[in-house]
Amino acid sequence: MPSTRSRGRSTRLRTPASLGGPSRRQLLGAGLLAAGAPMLTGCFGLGDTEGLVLEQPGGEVPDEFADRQRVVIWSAYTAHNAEVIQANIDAFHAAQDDIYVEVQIFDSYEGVESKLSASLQARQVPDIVVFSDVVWNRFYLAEVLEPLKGYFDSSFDTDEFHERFLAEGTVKDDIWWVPFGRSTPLFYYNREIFDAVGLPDRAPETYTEWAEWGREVTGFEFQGNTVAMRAYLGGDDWYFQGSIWAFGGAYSDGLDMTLTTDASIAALEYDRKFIHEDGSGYLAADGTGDFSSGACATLLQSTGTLSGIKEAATFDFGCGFLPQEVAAGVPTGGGGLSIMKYASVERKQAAWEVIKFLSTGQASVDWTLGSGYVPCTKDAIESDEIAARSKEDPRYQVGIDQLEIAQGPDIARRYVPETIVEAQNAIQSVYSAGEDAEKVLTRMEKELEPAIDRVREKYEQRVGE
Amino acid sequence: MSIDLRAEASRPAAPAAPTARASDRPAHRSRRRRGYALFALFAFPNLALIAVFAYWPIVANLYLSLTNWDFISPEPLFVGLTNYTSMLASPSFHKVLWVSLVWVVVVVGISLLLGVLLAALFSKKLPGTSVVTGIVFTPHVVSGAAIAVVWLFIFDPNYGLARVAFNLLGAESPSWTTDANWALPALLIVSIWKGVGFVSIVYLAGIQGLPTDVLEAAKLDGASSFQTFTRVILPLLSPTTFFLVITQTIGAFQAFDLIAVMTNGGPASATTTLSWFIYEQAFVRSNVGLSAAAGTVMFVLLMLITVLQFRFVEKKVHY
Repeated sequence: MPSTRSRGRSTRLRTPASLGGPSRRQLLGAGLLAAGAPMLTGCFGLGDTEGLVLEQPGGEVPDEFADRQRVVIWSAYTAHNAEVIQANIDAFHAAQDDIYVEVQIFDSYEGVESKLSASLQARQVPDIVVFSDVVWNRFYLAEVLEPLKGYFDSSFDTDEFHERFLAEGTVKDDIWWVPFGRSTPLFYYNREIFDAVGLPDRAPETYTEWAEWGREVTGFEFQGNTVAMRAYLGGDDWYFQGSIWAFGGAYSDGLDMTLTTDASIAALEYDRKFIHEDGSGYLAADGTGDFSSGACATLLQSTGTLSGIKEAATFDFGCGFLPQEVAAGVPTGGGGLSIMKYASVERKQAAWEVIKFLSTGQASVDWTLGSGYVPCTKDAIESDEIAARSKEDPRYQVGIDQLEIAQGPDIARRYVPETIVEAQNAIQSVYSAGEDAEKVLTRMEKELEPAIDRVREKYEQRVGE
Repeated sequence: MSIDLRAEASRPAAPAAPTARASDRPAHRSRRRRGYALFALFAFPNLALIAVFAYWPIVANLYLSLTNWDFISPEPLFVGLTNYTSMLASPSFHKVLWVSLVWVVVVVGISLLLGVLLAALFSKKLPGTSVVTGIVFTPHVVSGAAIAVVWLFIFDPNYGLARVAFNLLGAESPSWTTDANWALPALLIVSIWKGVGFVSIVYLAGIQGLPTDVLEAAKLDGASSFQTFTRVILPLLSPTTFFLVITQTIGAFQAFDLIAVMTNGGPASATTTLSWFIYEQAFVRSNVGLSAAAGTVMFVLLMLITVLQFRFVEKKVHY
């Protein structure tokens, strides 16, 4: 019997069901849940991947290429770099009759990552994906990338690529990610400010020297701006990855976090003093813009930004290696190319032909010259045009020379996506609010524990120690 | 056991059954079937859309909140209530709730206050009112991302208008979006600026719909303008206020575009609201389970707030 309701108060009649056994409504609810649970479980994830072939994302194929095998690239390169890639793709279309390539552009590496995650749920994948150096790893753990070693042959061997860069995309003796638009940070400095203050025309050799110079530069008036020594980029922990190494620390050893070692803390404490005690630095909303307009004297920024700063700056500036302290601290960065595993054999083979074209010959040279990224293929490294550019503007050579002391990111930064977000939070807490470095890094380690636990089993299985 | 017999007693007596009921006639049954078919024809598309795009995501979200999943692994791993317990125990989530609370209270409170004052001013029909009304309302219809870009320029401590304004006052502009103490106030300013036009227009419509005889009676009784506003107009606007409190609260909880363009939830999580937290967990940290758990918390919070508003605030509303 249902409950009867009086005004303002209801009285539920006690039935045998409410006294002990489940009611009809409860049974119905439980039945629905029991039926719904497997349905929900089946809604997410790829499920059984045996023989799985996912569809290609939609798009337009021009009539002239209608009978070719279509290859879709999801690219994170925008603006000028997108034009350079398209020019190379146009050259590829002219060079053969079998493959048509459609480049679909996203705003950033993160944009590609989000879209790819969603598209896997929609059971669609592109053929080639541009991944950043800290993103492809998690797709590797999820086993959605195609192993590439078997595609190399005598006409296009692994020695076509810079050895150090290729090693970054190699796990368990197979290749999953080939270098494409790779970079390292450079030390940019305003030569006119350095000259006016009486500093030498070079990058500081150590972080200590940088801080000493900062006290001399800060407060100097330049082009209507009161100059600070360094604009910090809080939206990217890439530079902190370098400085933590330079102070002898690291994010992690394997998946074991090492953020609270004295050396790691010293790296962040250095930044806190630089900003909040010396007053030599600040957290910038647009550090590159500030440097280009003369609001700050020095900047750590990617090799890929060199051409942009050259266009924007109205003063002479120099580039140098990143400072060291007790060790070198130069992280590699940028993007590379992977082929998605769950595409048809024909699509994957055609995708490989595209990678081959982009990574060799004039296309590789044009990409390096046009994008400003460091050359990562043999043809580009040995090219006369790139040598001539370096001779004409030695700043481009700095990034190439610095590769000798560069290294890939720490394991936690590569395989635990939360590491980068937590690191950004940590450095912003210090740069912006001046929080104690040890407290911040201890908190970061604790926040990351569950994230590392989630990844550990898969990491040990797919990468191993 | 007690049964309220008053309800039973108050029911109208059932009509005596006719000897041959109208509903038994074939023509009537056919008409009724056509009626049902027509109802289903009109209702089904809407019901299906609501089920697929509203109720199904809620159920699916609830399921995902009980799993550990990164979007790309073959399938989610059931972990029970782990996401809820770890999230609710985390100091960083407490901070997120605090930021959300500040956001909602400040944005809704100030928007309503400024909105009603502006509406009172507009209702005076001073020269140029229609132009000013249009100007105040415009930010509401402009895209949040576009507004955020403009305000980023205004807030730039090196080149922005804020710098000029502060320099005129002999002070230095704060680093609005990169200083952990200023970032939230900066976003609140923009959010209120964007939303106050809508609030004022709704209030203006409310004021224009008030019965003139009541206002004239207040005037005849010698009430001052201030007294008329606080003791007559505001109480009569309570249905409008009630509507705005509910819609603005829900809107404030969902704030996303300004945060995405201006601060990305930073610096140091200073502007991470619940909606940004949900996005960040899912699409930046690839932690779908925790994101879904936060989504469920937001759903429950909004439902609770709305129920409480209907239960307690509505009693003070004069219709």
